[in-house]
Amino acid sequence: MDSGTEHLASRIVLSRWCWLMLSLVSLPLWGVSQQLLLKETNIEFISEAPLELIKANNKSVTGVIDLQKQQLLIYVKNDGFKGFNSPLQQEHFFENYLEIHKYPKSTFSAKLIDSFDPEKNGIYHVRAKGILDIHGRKKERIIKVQIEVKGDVISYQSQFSLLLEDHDIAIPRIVYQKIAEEIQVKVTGVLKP
Amino acid sequence: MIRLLLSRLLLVLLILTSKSGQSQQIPTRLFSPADGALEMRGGILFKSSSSYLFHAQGPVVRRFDGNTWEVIAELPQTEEVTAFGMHQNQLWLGTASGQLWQEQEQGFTLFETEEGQIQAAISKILSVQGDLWIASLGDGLYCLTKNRLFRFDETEGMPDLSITDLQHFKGRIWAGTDQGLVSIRFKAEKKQLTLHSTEDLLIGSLSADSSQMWIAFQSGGISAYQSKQKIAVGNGIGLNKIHTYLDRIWVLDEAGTMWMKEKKAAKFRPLPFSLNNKALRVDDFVFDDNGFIWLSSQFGVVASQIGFRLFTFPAQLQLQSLLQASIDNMWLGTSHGLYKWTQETHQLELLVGTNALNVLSLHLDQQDRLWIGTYGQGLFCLSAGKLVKVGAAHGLHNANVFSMAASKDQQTLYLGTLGGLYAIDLHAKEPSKWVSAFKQADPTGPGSYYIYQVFVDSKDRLWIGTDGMGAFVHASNRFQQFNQSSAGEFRIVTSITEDQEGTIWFSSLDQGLLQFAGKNVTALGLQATYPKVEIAAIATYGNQLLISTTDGLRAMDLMQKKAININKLYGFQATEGITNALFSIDNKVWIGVKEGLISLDLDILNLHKAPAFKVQLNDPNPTADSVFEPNKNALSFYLNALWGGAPDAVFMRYKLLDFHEEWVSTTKREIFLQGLRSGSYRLLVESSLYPDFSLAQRSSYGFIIKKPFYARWWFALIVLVSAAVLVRLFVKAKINKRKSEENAKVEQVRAQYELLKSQVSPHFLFNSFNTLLALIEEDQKLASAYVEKLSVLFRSVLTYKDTDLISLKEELVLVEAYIYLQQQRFGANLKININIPSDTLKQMVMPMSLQLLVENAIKHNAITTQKPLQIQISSTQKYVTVRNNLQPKVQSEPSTGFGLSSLEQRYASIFKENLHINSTNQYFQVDLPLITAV
Repeated sequence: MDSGTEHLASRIVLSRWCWLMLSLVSLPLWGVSQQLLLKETNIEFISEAPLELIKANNKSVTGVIDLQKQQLLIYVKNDGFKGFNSPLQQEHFFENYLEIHKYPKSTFSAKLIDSFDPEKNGIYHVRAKGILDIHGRKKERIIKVQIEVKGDVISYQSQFSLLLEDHDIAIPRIVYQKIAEEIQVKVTGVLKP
Repeated sequence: MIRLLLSRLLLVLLILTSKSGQSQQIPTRLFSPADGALEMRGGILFKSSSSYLFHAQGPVVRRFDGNTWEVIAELPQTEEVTAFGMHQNQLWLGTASGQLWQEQEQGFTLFETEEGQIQAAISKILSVQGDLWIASLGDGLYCLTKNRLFRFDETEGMPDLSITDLQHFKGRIWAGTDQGLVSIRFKAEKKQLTLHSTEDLLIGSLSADSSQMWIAFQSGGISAYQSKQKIAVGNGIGLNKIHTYLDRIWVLDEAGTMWMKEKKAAKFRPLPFSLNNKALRVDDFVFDDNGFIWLSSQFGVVASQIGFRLFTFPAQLQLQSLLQASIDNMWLGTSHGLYKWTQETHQLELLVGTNALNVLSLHLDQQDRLWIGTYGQGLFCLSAGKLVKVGAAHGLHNANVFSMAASKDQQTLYLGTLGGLYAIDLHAKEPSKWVSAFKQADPTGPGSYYIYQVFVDSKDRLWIGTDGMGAFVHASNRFQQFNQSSAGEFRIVTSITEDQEGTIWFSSLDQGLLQFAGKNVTALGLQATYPKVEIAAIATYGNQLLISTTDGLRAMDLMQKKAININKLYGFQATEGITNALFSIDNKVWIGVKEGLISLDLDILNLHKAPAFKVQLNDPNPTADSVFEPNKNALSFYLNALWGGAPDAVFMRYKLLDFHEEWVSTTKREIFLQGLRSGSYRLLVESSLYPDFSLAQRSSYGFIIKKPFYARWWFALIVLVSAAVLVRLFVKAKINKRKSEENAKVEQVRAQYELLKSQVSPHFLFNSFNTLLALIEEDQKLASAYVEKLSVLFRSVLTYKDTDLISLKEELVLVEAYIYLQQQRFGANLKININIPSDTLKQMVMPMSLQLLVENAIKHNAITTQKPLQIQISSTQKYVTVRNNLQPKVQSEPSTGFGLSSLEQRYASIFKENLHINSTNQYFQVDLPLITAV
């Protein structure tokens, strides 16, 4: 991709995120809202390679669900990953794999296939189908989310796996045994109006 | 006795053995693009109604010509083809940007409508009864009908704008979306949408046959339409494509694995496609018309024949016999024990206690007892988990049980051993009463000969194949021997079977395949067809006779009596068949070969079907009328024989009518025809799976090489007419010339005659003599000069009468003589002035011409003292001129009217020169042309 199209692409992404930001800012003004914000979100990933277990988590996550449009947007700041085994591991992760200077964020923009009622107690299994953008590579995914409505508290959790190949994250042969080709991801948090 | 029996009873446990070296192979073959420059990786596939396969990857579209992939279209680089369709015999392409491209004679053109563009990637193009349905991933469903584009969106009732698939089923269009299944009825611009409940909302792919529609879900599993049951595929992985074909459901999951389930079966099985031992990650698949499945994968487009699978086992386990145990299990008798084999898991379980047995034959009776015939170890019976050995103690005196067959009433089990026939009473309770030797003492039977095969036919006759005595049949308590066939004596019979018509088939080592239809044994001559090939086993399936040989599998069509090499037909390596290891059940045939176990799905293999065949003109691009210029005397053609993934199995030949006398066989896909003359041609091409071109598919191509312009009728006509005109003109000119020449000659002769006549005319003589008479009296000297001049004149007349030309000088001598003569007569009344420059004297004139002019002047004019006649003779380079003043005589001398006009004609005909005659009131002048001497 040459710099021109890259610029254009980043602008399109920006405009999409403008919508998210506007929603977030304008929310309190709307009173009764069709939108739920993702709060206290924690993204955790585990790479179980034969020689090394890598674990890290990230709380720099912003997200919103638009109930009317049945849409979900999640924005993750890549430099928010913490809790690595060592600073060296973290540096490798940031510089070599995620390349956070080039790709500072990861996003998931999806539509909700199954519906849920935030007013009604219960456990809902909702699938979100959309584009997962990690390391600048987009992949269409259907990700299952479990949402639990219990009175005023709406909590959610989701577990899925990522194939490094899908997102063009190349593993050097020398660390082949240290990074799994499939990364387990767990996301938890609550939804608040 | 009981203790003895107990000692022979073994408690049998089935234990799992984890043998290494087991694998199953589905033969695959990679087909590369013809351009070679870049390999095809992944991409989408499509089969058109014309049998051709198409592939698209990014903007490049290719077609399979039977051997390689040829580029047929390249869209702009920014486009990516995401869907194929066939509409009104044209190929349509849909792209990721929502564009539609339509095949036209000159290539693909962008299809545009007034209604505007589709705004999302096109996922499916479906042509139904003249309408074109187009599904998009995010912009709803479109229908192109009568050149108008209708859109179905949320306002029309579409639950979602992302349409993953379309199908035509029960008169409706069915669309799979991200929010469920919709059916649409659309007639005369009236739209009727119905939402159908499905097991899941995320529809991935649809497939419909005449009776049922199947739905594959994006988040895993399939279900039949209106069924509440969801069938899992694998561990619930998402599915990209479903296709129902030949009573089987074929599914592609999002990880690129293919799965298949026979409709009756409960579970899906993975199809382990691989290329060079690397698993294929499949992007798309399609079936061709020859039973091959085509897979676009990470390595390129691969063809595979799933109707043929080879399961291999550890090398030390040599397969000897086969028996179906249940739907999913099979007993495999091997050189090292009896195994239960599960196809799905491809696992072997050894029957405990049999590991030392070489199992040659197997039989399952109605009481679920498994009879196991061995080599050297006698017979075993597995009943209710207990294994009983049957040996000499029970009356079985030969321990080599090669073959078993039960009578129709299931009362008797016949054993073929290396020591003759035995029979087992299947109803006898006590094992000690089971065995008896079967008519070994009968001298008409095989006695205690080696018996390889026993077979009970539909008429309950027992057929026996021996080593050395040919075959026997036992019916109505009598034996009959067969060892003579139409081709001679046969001794060794290894395998016997019966077809639907009741014909008995033998395989013999000496005469190959033999057939007995009630009277004589006929040899099918297969030995000659396949030299040095031994038949190991035969079995019938429908109207096919399957022949397992030491050089691969043959299938013979019983109607056509045509055998075909299955290994070659589907591009598999030759396999070596094994006796007693061939049987068919349902749609499947199982064949034991040295390499392992082969399963054939005959409904998929579609045997004895002629390949689809297309002839394509290579050069130049085919035009609608295929008319070539006359200088095009060499043409090349592509012969596209479509036989799935085994192009080498196809025989091809061609014949240009009125050019080739015989068919020309070819293995090349491109043929050249050279030395073609003008004319109308028809090229016939045939392809067949048989070397003798039976069941051939024929195709023909007509073309015309124009005649050159000079060989056309109108040109010939023009040439003929102009030639005739030219000849006529030429002849006419020739005649004219001859005529004028003749005329000139006549003229000349006449002139000479006239000249002579005039010169010697009595009048002239009279005048001359009168003058002379007067002169003699007056002046004798003058008189003699007069006579001298007269003689000069007459001599000249005589000298020049045959001459065409004389010099002006000579003529002047003559004229001067004449003038002298006349001046003596007219004296000073005749005034003659001659003024000729000396340089013209060499020019030529006709003899007597000047004289004639002078004579004419004197003859026609009055010459008196009052009116003297003045004659002037002068010359330029071109003319000599005679001019006189005009004073015509009142009474003219009689004129022949010949002189001047004759002179004119002679000048015109001989010298092509004209005399200029000028006549005024004052003078008369003649310019006589001077001829330059050559």
